[in-house]
Amino acid sequence: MNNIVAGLILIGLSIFFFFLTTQFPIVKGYQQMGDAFWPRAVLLVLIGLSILLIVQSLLKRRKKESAQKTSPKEVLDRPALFKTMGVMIVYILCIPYLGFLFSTFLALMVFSYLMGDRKTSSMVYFSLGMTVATYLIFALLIYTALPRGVWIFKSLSNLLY
Amino acid sequence: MLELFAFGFYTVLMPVNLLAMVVGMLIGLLIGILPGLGGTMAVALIIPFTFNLEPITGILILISLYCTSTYAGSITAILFKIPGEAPSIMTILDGHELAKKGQAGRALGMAIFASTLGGIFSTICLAAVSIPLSTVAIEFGDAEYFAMAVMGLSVCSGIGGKSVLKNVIGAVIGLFLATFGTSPISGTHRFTFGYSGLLMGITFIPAVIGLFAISEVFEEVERGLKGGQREGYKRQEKVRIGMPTWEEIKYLKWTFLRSGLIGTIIGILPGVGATTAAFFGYSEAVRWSKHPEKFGTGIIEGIAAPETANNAATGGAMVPLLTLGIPGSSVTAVMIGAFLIHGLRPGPMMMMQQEKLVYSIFAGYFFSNLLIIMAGIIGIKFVIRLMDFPYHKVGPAILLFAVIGSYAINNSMSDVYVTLAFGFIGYVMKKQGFGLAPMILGMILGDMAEVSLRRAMLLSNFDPMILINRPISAGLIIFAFLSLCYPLIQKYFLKGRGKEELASS
Repeated sequence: MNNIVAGLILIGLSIFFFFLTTQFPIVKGYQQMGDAFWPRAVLLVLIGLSILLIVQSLLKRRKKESAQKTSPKEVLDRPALFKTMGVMIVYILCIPYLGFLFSTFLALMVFSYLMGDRKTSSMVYFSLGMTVATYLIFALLIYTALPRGVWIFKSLSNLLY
Repeated sequence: MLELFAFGFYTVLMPVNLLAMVVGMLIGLLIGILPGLGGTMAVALIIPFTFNLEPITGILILISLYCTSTYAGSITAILFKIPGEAPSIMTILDGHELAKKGQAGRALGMAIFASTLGGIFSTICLAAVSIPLSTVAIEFGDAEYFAMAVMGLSVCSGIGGKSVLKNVIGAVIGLFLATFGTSPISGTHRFTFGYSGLLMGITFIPAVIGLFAISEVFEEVERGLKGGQREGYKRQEKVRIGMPTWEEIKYLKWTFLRSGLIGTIIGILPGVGATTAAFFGYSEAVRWSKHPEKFGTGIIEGIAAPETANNAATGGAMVPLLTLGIPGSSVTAVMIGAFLIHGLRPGPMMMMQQEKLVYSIFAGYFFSNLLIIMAGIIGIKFVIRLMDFPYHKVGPAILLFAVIGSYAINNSMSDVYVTLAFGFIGYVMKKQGFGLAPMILGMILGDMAEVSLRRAMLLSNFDPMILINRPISAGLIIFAFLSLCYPLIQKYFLKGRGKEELASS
């Protein structure tokens, strides 16, 4: 089932991008085998392989239906996964506003909580230590221009580096 | 030639480079001992940190990391029956049995000795093979380059996930992703969606970090962390390393030589790496042994054979990368990033123009393998205690390294967005069983394939026969076809054999 959906999604995306290749400007002197040629060739191969994937899994499914189903189910911690993914997105989107150091400190706290740390002191020391180490290595040692954020965060970061 | 070797050793022995190798060794040791953290991910995460260093210093860190992590898995394999890295799976069979007999120290000592020996053996082969090979490769034209890219890609069916079809799809997706950005010959913008961050295409290193580091953490979180502790770890009492005696070494000389050769050749072959090498090293040792029935009960050959072979594969894997520019394993595919970040493109041109760098790489391999001895002593004494290091410290640290690493390459947030996006893509693809390593291969070779194909076609007035008329190019394409089909052929034969066994029983 999964493979069929994956195949269909791949075909859909390939058709979408194939449509985009028709909008490429045609450069004079490169009409034959121009810029659209290679992406189109690759996309056509991808469509072909996706169809093969769908056919293969349809054939397999028919075989499987006759056999008995014995696949031990893995226990998955979906809520923790979605929370971690969500926090990761929020963290990266926050960096330009809160500045690198402040958002990193907050994100590390939340990540270690989500991954099972329950001791407040250990969470704080760990997050603070990692943030300070990042500051020392990147801002002071190799002069990386870490994002400063806006408003008060910008003024704060100006004090540090 | 001798001067170049002398220069290579001189470069590697400079304090900063020695320090770099020790750092790489320590990271490799940590990665090798902690189960679930792989060499590919470590290399991806470390590359951005090498940006500010001299090219050779950065590359030495990665080489040392690669060699040590391949060895270090054997420590946990022997002591706890957990392979810290995939290549040490075969070492469990006899290594853990020896440990149960109370000879853990002897097993650990043999693993150190065999790994070092295998690594140094393959370093010598690397230097001996790659120089003549690159003098052939320098004559290649566009048609040959295209054929080489195809051959490099054909490897994809064997690495990554279990399904051959899905691995191939992964590689094609990688090829497609490589077309983003400014087109190579005429300079039009492809799939940039008006976003300037995409003009240079999808940045390679941030994409690799996302694919191998972030997706890995997502998977680990999903698997459930039960208070952040891994299972299956019991603290052991102190062990003393016992290095093999002269009699043992003499007794095992053919095992060492056989495994060294097997490992190097398997390493050179694109698509199969250290894990396969260890497997063949072990199975051949059983085949040639006078007492095959003793294997698996805890004999010293059972450690010497796979450990020599898997470290010999690390040197072999560098041969196609240096001479042809096509990576032979997932670690070396990612390692290309360390060259690219300094504007170096591995391949015959680099072999000719950057001779000093290349010889320093040879020397670096030599010393990295010597450092394994130190790694063994440190690892067994100290680093082994970190095995109960909770994931709620490791996981967030990996995420932080991923973000800061991808940002620091160009000081740009758009690279971080690429990392994030590829973290999700990598997670979804892995869940669906598509290979990530083939995708990386496609992304590396896509550009080379397109440029050389279009140029060859322009030069030959769009006659596709140019790809087949030239002997080397035709040979490479045939080889590519065979290697693409190899997993299928293998499957077919295994199936046949399985039936025979069933029939005979």
